[in-house]
Parts: sequence; C-alpha cells; structure tokens
Amino acid sequence: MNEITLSNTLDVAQIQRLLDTKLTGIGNRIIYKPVVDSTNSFAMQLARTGSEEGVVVLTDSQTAGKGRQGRHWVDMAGKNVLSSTVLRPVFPPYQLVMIASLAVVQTIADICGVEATIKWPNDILIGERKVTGILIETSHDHTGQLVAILGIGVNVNGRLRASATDKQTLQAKPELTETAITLEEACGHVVSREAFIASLLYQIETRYLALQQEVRESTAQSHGPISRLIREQWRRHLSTLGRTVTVHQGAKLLSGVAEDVNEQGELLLRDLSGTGITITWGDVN
Amino acid sequence: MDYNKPYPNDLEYHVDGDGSSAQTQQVSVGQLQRLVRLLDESDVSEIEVKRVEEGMHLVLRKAKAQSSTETGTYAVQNVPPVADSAATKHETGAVDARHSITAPLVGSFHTWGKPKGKALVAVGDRVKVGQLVGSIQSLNVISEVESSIAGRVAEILVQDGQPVEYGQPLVVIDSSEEA
Repeated sequence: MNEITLSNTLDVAQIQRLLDTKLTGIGNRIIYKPVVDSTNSFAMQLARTGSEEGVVVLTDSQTAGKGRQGRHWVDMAGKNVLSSTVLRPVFPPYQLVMIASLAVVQTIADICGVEATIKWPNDILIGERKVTGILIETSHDHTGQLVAILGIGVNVNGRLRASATDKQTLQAKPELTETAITLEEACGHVVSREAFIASLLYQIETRYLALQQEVRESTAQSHGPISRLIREQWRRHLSTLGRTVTVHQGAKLLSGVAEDVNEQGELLLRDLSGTGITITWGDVN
Repeated sequence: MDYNKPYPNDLEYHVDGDGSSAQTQQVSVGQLQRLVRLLDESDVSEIEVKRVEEGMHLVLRKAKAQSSTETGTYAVQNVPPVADSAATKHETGAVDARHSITAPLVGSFHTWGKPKGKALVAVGDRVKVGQLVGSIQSLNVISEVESSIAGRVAEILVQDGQPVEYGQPLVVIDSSEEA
C-alpha cells in the first residue's frame, strides 16, 4: 500500500502512484507549477498550441484564479485542489458540466464519506455551503479543433470559520466564512490532496471516455444511453430542484420554483404567474 | 455528432482536410439546386465550385447524352481542393455569396466573447476565417462561435441573450468581395 503524506506542497509522484487512469495525468501529462496565475489560463495556452488531451495542470496557489463572469477565485495556498484538465470533447460542452459535477460529488463521497449535492448547474455544496467551483472554458486550437479546459477548485483543507484572522482570505472575500466550506470542516480530518486528485481524475475520465466513445460510434443525433445516464445521475444530485430560487442573469432577475431540468440540462422554472421559463445560464440563489 | 463539424444541412460532399483522411461535410440543398438550375438553363456543360478555406471542390457536369432525351442528368464529382484562392473566391461569389453561420449547440446566443465584453462584430464588419462572431452560453459554459468563411457581416439574425437551437442560423456572411 502506498504511503500517503500530507503537505502544503503537492507530491506529484504520489499522485501518479495513486492514479488509475488510462490517459489523464499519465506519464508527462501532469504539469505542476507551485504558483501560477491561473491553471485554466495556463492549460488553455497549452491546448491552443496542440497539447494532447488528458494533460492536467496543478498548483498549490493561484495569483489570479478565475471564477465565472470574470470573478476571482480565492484560495488558501497549499490547502486546495486547483486543477485544469485539457480535453477535446466530441460532445457539447454542457455535458462536461454534468461529468465534472458528478465526478466531484463521487470523489467527495469516496474520500470523505460525505454526501455533497449540486447547485444548478455545477456548484458543489455540502449542506448549503460551497466546497467546489467548476469553470469550463472552450476555444479552438490552431487546427480549428474544439478544446475544453475543465477547471476544478476544491476547498480541501483548512478551517474557514476558524481562520477568521487569515487576512489574505478574509480581506479578499470575508463572506466566504458563511458561504464556503472545506472538506476538512465537513469530514473532521485533514484530507490528502494527492488522493483526492487521483480519485477525481479517475471519476472524470471514466465518464468522459465513455461518452466520447458513445458519440463517436453513434450515427444518431439523439442522446445515447451513456449520455442519458450521466444526465439522470446529475439530475438526481441537484439540490436546486423543488426549491423556490432566484436566478441572476447579469442585471436581470428571474424567480420561481425550479421544477426540473430538460434533456440539455437547462433549468425549468415556474414563475409566480405560472409561466414556465427555460434557464440556460445564470447564478442560482 | 461531432461538434467540431459545421451544422449538417441536407446533402453531403467530401473534403480532404489534411490530405490524409477524408472528413464528411455538407452543403445545402438550396445551394445545390441553384447550381443545378444555373447549369440547366445555360449552354455550359460544367460548373466548378472551389472553397479553398473549407477544403471543398465541387464539380457539376452535364452527363453526356446517351440519347437526345437524357440530357437532364448530372454527375457530382468531388476532387481534391486546388490552392488557387483567387479563382476559387471569384467562382464562389458568383454563385452564392451569402453564408449562414449556424449554432453548433443549444443555448443563449451572445454577441460578446467574454462576459461584460463588447459585441464582437457588427453589420458591415469584415471577418476572416476563424474569427469569433459571438458565443453561445449553455449551463454557464461559453462556447465560441467562429466564422467559417471570410467576408463581410451582412446580417446578425439573433439578438444578444436570445435562446438558439442547434443549427439555427446566427450570422450571415457575404463573401462576394473576397475575390
């Protein structure tokens, strides 16, 4: 059995010993930078210049971590999993949202024994507090092929509520103590980031390769059984459904009951007047 | 479904991408019908369309009559593309200069490439092959929409924020000036 050590510096050799993937992170496909501006930006540069899929960029700290809508992702150095994986999906990018969310939920269950849920479409919550953010960015490489960068940031170690004197974190975003949670807080012990990463990459790859194969082998335009299974598993973990929610789309606000999601994963909202609204994007509160 | 490929229309032709393997792409029935009509109503025996940017070279030729009643049949031939851009652009423009860029997936169309960004193109702007003309947001993932052809933006068919379906025309590019 491999010995697992806990450190604020990632042990890449240990990740590779624990990896059970066919493609992702294998051999020279892990690129570790102790500090980087943004793993997503770095991975996108690699992808645009032809980097193969399955390359994973890892870091201990980002100086310009990215969130959605141009927001910043704040991390505690050496305490988070900050990863970006280069993928070349032949399926629509929204299905990556489902794959990534499910992979994180399953990894949290496997590593911590804690049940996490998904706030539509891809925030991972423990209770009502966010433990993981997912940012998927797409572009085309120099040959015109679609590339997708799957960025995942997980609050792994540290205690946000106990670290109220941590100036770096709190000055940047003091409300984090109320809205965010770490795995250490959730499961009561320090978690190996290396073990988490190895499990996470396996969970992503299993679903990703299965869907790639299904789409490549299918001649039909409709969703196949793997696609439907992923969508249904994702749907079952959505804590948003059945709730009265407000969706922020820039300056626009939409309120109603989140009744279900459709085949493409769009949120089906019923507003107070009884009108059905299909939500393609936005922040749900 | 391969989301790297353009939205399929109705009739297939073949494209030699890098010369090593043939990819299947498609041309609209409407475009083909216009070409056939042009050929039918003229005295010429052959029409050739080349789109070097798309790697397409299409030849429509009146089949040689076996008898005087068999002149209405056509042969569609696909041959490797020829790198003669000037001739290609001229011929393409003469036949059909308006090309629709279609939605590669379902979602909300945005005229910008990044949130809070400016509109990428306006009617009248010149665009190059591969230039971004908008984006589609689906489950908070922003996917770029590129122009597959060089030309001038003739129409933007959908408004910012409007839901779009797979294959829905988004932007019309007029390539007639690309001679």
